[in-house]
Amino acid sequence: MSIFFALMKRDLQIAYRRRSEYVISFMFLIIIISIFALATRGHDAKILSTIGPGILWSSALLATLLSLEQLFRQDYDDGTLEQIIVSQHPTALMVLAKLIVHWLVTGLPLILLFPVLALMVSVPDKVYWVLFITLLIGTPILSFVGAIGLALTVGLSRGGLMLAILLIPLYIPTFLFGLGAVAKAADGLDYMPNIMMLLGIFILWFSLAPILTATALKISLR
Amino acid sequence: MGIFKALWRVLVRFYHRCSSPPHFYAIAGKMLPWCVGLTLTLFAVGIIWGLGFAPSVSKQGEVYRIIYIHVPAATLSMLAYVFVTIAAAIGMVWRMKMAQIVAVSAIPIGTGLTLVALLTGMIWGHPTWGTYWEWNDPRMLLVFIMFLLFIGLVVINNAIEDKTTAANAIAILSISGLVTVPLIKMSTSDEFQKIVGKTIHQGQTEMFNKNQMTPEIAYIWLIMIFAFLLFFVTVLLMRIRNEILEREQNTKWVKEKIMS
Repeated sequence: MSIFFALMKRDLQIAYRRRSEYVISFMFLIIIISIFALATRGHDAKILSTIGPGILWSSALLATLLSLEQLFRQDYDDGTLEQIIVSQHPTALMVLAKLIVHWLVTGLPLILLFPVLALMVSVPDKVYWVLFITLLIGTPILSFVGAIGLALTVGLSRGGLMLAILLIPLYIPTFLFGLGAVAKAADGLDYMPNIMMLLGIFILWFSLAPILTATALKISLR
Repeated sequence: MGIFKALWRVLVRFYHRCSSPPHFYAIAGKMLPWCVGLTLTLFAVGIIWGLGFAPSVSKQGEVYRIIYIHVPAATLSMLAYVFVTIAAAIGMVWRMKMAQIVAVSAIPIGTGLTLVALLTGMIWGHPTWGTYWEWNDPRMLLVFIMFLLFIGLVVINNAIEDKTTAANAIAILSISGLVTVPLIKMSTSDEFQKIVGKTIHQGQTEMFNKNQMTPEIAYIWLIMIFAFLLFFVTVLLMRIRNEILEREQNTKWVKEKIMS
């Protein structure tokens, strides 16, 4: 277990030293949100607050796609990834450590700055907390699922665009349940089933994604 | 019991023989003419009977006849996805070259069938539901996801040079997306609709329950499903033969086959 925390500490240190990259990907998130918000310009302000939760979710997805490269790319280039795989420790556990750190540096800022982001798209009070909870459960799922696709494309030269094609279909169910909960809350219906399904998806990927990612890494680096 | 054991041994032997590309190439070559003939016959019978002579359903009129294409294509596309996943998983776990070839060959067929299911569904949806596409509908969305998954499989297969690596990547990706298939099946059930939202797509049982299903329609339907199944098998065998020739192009038996 100590190696697990050692790897987490190392990754956090690297992330701190390369913090400008993460700031850029967070700025990208804010820019996407503003562009979506601008798209409703000239229309009723109600439209923005209706699609606001959807905008936040879509932007979180796009920003995750952009920042995913940082999960393995650097380690792949300098050979750390190979060392992790050939080491005696289970690769899935190492992947889990890297994933948790990745969420801490890309997903968590979104959660912490949620009040500001919600203000940007004028999220109505009725769905405020539901949206917060779905994003809290949803952003780790985005990172976890993304790791599988990234591990498959890490050795390829033009992996970036392909990543989006591979990952979007895997992301849609999460999207479906997350935004479904928000829509139900807006209509005053019971949204707990959706939250439960989202939690179920989270548990599924939390247990499955590290294993699949480890296998995929072994395949790509063979 | 003795008979079953003997039969089982024959099947296992056949399975092991099939794992050798030259043998599979020969067996597939012998099966192909039969498959082609049977597929064409079933298609001819099903389409002429279904589109020309079957009684029309009072509620929908003549447009219901697209069911003879839509339902088999949709069924087979889901089957194709599971088929690709199982074959690719076998290829990854037991490093069986033939299973990898089978998985890779089935992907484009599944993509095509899913596209056919989506397009016929849209054509059918416009006169009956008044809309070509509904983003809120879980079943349409899930089939669309499966289409995107197939596209992803095609893309990753083309992007990775090494054939074995590509097949293994296909296994990982298709396993990740496998949950979509049972979700498609479930998406017309009441429990699922309570969570995700109402679908306007009708379930399988609705057709049977409302007394719309005369025996004749059921027969044609079965014929068309078998026709599509055989179509899948036929095209799969053709594609596998091509794939084998391409992969084994440097071996002696392929050179002899081409030269003779």
